[in-house]
Amino acid sequence: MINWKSISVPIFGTLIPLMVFVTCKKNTQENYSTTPYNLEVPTGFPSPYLSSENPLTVEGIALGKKLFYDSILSSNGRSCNTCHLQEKSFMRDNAELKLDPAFYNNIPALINQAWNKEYGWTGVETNLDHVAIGDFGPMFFNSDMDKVLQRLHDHAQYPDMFHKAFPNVKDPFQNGVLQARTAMAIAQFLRTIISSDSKFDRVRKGTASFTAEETYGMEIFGSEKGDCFHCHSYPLFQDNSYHNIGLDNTFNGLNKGRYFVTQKSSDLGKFSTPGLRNLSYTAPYMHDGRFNTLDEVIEHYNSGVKYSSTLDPIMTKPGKETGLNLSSFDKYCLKQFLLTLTDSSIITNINYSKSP
Amino acid sequence: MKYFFWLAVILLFCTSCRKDSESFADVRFQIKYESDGKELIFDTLLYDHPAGYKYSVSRIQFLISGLEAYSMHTQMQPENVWFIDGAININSEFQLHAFPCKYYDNWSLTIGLDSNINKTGKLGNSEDFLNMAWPETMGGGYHFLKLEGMYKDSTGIHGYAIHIGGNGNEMKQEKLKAFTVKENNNEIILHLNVNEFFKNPELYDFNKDGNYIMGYQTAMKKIAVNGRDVMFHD
Repeated sequence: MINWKSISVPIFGTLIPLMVFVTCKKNTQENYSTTPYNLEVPTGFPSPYLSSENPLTVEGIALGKKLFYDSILSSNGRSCNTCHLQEKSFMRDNAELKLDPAFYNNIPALINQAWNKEYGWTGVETNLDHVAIGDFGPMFFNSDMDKVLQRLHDHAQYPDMFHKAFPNVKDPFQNGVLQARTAMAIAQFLRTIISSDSKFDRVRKGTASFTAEETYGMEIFGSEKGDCFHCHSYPLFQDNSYHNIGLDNTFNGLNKGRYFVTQKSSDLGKFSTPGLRNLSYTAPYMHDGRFNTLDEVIEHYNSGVKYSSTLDPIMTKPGKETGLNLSSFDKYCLKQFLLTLTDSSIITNINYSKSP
Repeated sequence: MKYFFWLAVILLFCTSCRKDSESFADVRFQIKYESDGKELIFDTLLYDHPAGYKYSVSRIQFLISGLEAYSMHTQMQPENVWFIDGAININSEFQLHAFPCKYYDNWSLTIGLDSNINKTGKLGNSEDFLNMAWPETMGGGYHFLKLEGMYKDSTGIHGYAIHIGGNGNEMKQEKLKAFTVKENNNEIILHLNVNEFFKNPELYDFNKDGNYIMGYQTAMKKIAVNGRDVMFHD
């Protein structure tokens, strides 16, 4: 015969605290649950490279955007936005910034980053989630991490935003954890900056049409005449690869390019292929900003190619060893086509702008 | 008793047949690159071209399609198309998933695409396939092969870019030995001899036939014919 009276006390004595614990835990999770963010992939674009360890969430993106525009992370008044201006398609010329000369002069535009496999001119970083960690160093933010931590901790909004963005992190305000989560939040924001509304895109959708010059320019771009398409593939106008395009025939200092990452002499002078979208906002051009105008860039490909052992083989056509030999009209039309890649919505889209 | 015995035999027979026909396994193909027996090391100008000069390879990318495998009573034709990049190890292999476990006495695959598939956009929006697109202004479809590098003749060092595309230029590989798909550990090592693109049946000399041939049908066809037996396996 079971004596219910004798076992009811221990049962209830165990159950009630358990129920309280479960209820409390549930409440905690509810307070800090995240909202998944569905990145809308433009028609014709490949699948983006998203991070399973850092999935996009509404809360993470909001935190990343706020941090992107906030000098709270630095000791010198800089924020990410200092070097990545929205009005310049999220790039900026280092000549204006006067950053450390050990840095590449031309800061890449931060658009369509979700489709990059590697980052920077040499691909030194392979995970966008880690890229912003490097910005805390002396070259950019020169951050005193203890002070950054204290400022964020004491801020009216950040503690709550960090907890909401990363609910599974027990204490986001530990030094190493904070740096990593800051970079992850910024990476989430960057993955949402998508350029896909240029005239080129509208022509592809059938809602706009090219002029005769633009059409001819596209033919040059997409044929052997200009041979741009092999590296600047549609629709992102890049190939996630590295090429020596004949800017130099000897390689010193920063011009060694991809070699810095691989230490292979066959990678000397190779740099990542930049996407061509929004060229009209992103002057100057090349890793070192040596060309101030699009005309200068086109002229390089037309007559300025320099031979070296790592020059890309597709730039060694017989009779075109120093360039494409395009006519003035060809060059003009090619430029007109390149300008159709301008997506002005990027520089005005409030989703990417500093929140009021 | 006799009845039960025969019932058991029939049941056993049926079960065995069923197991045979329902057994599937993955098959991993790994591609190794060489030039007439010398292992290919990218960006090194040390391979002997049949036309008498040294050459290097800096890029070899291609599409594989049209895999056909014949067993005694069956023919398997998976519709997969694989992008292969010789410079990146992981892309130098491809897999067949859930392939019937059998002995295949005859099989082949194709470098390139059949005209039914060789249409712009047909392979979807994967980045690898987008990067292999053959421009619409040149007829559309896809590059079947990108083979690039440098060569050194008596006049100096020059580049070459052998880009093959266009219907009819696909390269069917038929010199492939029989193989058995077992229930596990199926790995087939395929060898690709780059030099075969430049000989057999005809010598292909960069200086005479062209070192940059995208869109030049005569040169592409010569490579395509030579390229029909570039692959073999142990």
